[in-house]
Amino acid sequence: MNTAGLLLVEDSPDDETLVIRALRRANVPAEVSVARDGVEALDLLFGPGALARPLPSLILLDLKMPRVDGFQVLERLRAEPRTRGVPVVVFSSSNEPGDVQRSYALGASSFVRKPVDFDEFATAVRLLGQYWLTLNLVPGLPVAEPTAAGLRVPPAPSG
Amino acid sequence: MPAQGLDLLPIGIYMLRPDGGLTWANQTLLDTLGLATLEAATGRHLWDGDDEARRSFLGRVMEEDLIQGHEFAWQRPDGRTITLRESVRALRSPENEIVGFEGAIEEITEQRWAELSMRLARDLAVALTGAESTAEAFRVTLERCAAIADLAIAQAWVPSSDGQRLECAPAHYLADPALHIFRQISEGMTFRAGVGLPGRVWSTGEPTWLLDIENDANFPRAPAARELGITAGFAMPIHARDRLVAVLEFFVRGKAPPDERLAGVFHDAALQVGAFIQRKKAEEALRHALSLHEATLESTADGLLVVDLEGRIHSFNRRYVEMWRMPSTLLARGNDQETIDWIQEQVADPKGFLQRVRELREEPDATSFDVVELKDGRVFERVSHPQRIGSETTGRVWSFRDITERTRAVQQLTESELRHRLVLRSAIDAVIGMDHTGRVTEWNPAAERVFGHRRDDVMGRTLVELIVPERLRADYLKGLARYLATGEAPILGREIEMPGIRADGTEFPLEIAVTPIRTNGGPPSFTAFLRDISRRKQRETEIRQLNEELEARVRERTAQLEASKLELEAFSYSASHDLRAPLRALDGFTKILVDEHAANLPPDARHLVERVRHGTQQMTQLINSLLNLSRMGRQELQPSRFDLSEIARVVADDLKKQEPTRDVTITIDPGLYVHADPRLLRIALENLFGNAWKYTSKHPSARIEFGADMSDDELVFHLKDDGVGFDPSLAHQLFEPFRRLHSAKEYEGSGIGLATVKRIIERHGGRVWAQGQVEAGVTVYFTLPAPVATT
Repeated sequence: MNTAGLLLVEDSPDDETLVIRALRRANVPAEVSVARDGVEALDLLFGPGALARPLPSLILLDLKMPRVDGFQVLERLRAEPRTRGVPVVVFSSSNEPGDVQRSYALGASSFVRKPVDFDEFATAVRLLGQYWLTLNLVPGLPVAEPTAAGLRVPPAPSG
Repeated sequence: MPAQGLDLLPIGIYMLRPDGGLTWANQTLLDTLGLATLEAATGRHLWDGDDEARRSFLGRVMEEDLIQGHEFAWQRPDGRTITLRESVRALRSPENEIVGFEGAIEEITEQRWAELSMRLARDLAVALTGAESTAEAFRVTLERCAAIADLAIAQAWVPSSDGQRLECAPAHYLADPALHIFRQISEGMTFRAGVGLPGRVWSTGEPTWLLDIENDANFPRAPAARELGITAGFAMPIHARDRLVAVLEFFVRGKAPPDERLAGVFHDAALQVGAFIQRKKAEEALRHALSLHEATLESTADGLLVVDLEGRIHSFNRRYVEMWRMPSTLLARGNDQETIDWIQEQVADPKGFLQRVRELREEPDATSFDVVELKDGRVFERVSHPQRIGSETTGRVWSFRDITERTRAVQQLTESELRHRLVLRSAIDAVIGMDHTGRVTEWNPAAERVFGHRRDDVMGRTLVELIVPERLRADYLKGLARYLATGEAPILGREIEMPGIRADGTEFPLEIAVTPIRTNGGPPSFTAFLRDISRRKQRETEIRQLNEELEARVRERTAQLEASKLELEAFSYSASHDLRAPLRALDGFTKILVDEHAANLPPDARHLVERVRHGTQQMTQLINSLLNLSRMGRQELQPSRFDLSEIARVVADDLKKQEPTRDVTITIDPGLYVHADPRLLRIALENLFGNAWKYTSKHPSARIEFGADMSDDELVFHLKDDGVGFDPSLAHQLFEPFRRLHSAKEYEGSGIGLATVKRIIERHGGRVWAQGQVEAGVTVYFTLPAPVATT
């Protein structure tokens, strides 16, 4: 079984842990790689040996990061023909209309605000994983057969 | 037969036949009748006229036997007509038959004329007394004369205004209307001296007879006269004071020429009329003189009094009465002493007044002039002159003139002059007077202070050399010359600023106002008011500098504010990211802790972890609210027209869904359309409904109403609840951020809900306010000035 690749671009170790925990809870089969800022992300995608690595099925991209921020990463991704089709979901604490607008303008596939409440957070991550990693098709990857876990209806948010 | 002795009687005696024919007359009668002998007289009838009249008279005598005083005219053979008076008796036979008549006769011609003359004089005297004018006097005279002498025409001729000819005066008499032709012809004529009947009288000054009109060469009206049967004329002059005033002419028709004695009678009449006219003229002259005298008296502004030498008031004018406010009764008595007593009551110095009156009584020929002051403050000038007729002094004229106003004006002028000087001396401004050439005529102490020139040094020098800087002198002199030539001067009557120089040569800013003064059309003089404005200029500079500094400071502060705003935005941004991240970690890890390690945690620890999560959620809410609030101020409005009632309904439904168990009745007026930003209005309504929902939660049931009413031409929205309300004294704090009127323990909340509402409404240009009482609910009102309509 092929496992889709998820690239998490996130400078906060807490959020990184929470995303990974939430994915695990949701049983989304994904191979997660993490870039801890924009530089690392770009290095991973375009740096030495990048061509040898398969492109991720989804990039969860934080916006506010040191050195190179999410917008710059997105811009670069969309500028390169090779990475132009990779789904990029901006996953940010911001819900500033300006940020949302700019993300889409740069070619983001989706914009999801990170909820503070962990239950909501977990739901968001589960839905994202189920959609982008199991339902969504990306070029260069075989069509994923939906798994039972992948199509599981998410539990209703508590509270 | 009558005896010879009868001839000696002074009266005539006669005897007549029964038919009236004369049979006998004494010598006296024959002489009277102008008959030479008895023989010549025998058979003559005594009485003129026709037989009929004579028979009728004899009939009367026969009837009455005796008629006394019968008068008749007799024309003597020498042409004289005489008047006779007789007594006639009828003589009868024993058989009582008329056998003849006898009579006694005397001549009364002279007596008749005397009577005639007297009657005319008397008539004229009466008539002329009543005559108003010369013209009437002429008419009366003509009528009376004509009547007495049984004349046909009588008319008057008067000298023309240039004195060159005689004109027909309007006065005339005609015995018979048929004669008016002669009158008409006369009216159309004038006569020079010597021409015609009137002209002849004019040139000779003598009464003139015209006995033979038919053959008179110097009578132009002869043809008309002939036509009318006029046979003779008479004309006489009327003189008044040796001057001819008229010629009266009379005409006789058909009869024998009139007795010459008529001329004498008329001459008397002419004298009488002349005297009348002379008197009339004298009267007129006197009346004229009197009216002139009176007009003169009354037309003067002075009060006049004329007193004779005995101290009796002769005359006075109305002004005199007014000036002394004298009762009319006092003057009517005419006693000068009484008026003097009256006047003494009024004058300030009665003794002095009386003294002067006495002095002048002693010296009737003296003239005096003095001034009298009255107790009431008036001042009279008194002039006294002797009144003279010829060289004889007959009285004294007193003349009073009220000079109160003049005196006061002079006093006021003096006062005003004095005040003017004082003002000049104490004026703060420099005041400089100049004549039309610009030479200094006035230089007050302030001018000495300002310019450093002493008054005595500058008088007569030109202002321009004293205070105008060298470089401006040409302009100044040009301006003065132009004003004198054209009367135009842009600087006159206005305050202008210019540089001036002091005696020590230093220059300083000066404010100057120049006023021209024109008196009686002469060349103008000028008064200049000048002020040293160095200090003011300095202050103006300071103020300008301060302003500039202030502006710089404002710019700086604005820049700072701009920076702060940017910082605030940066803060908001970081709050949205950075503050949420740790909260998320807190919440996430505690949740995971509970979820994955619940079995290992004692219940108390689980409770504590829940408290941590609760705190996290509250903080999240707070941050979200803050962000919203800051975004309200930053976001651009995107207004559109929409149904606010609909949004209210959605918001209310959300609340009900969240707590379906609560008993809250929500009523919303439908169709409240507004023109506003729907997203912001939704946030506002969420906050308002949220508050209402929250603050009614302690009541078992509640009502919430949303609606709008017109008030003073604007639509006022309200959201009303019946919850816990608030203390009205704290109403002003209601809309401040983080201001909470209830403890967080009682009611949860961020404390910025109403602050957000306020910001949203105010961004739309509206107002928001609240009313409430403790436990009586809250009503929040707001307005949205954008076009609003209900459907």
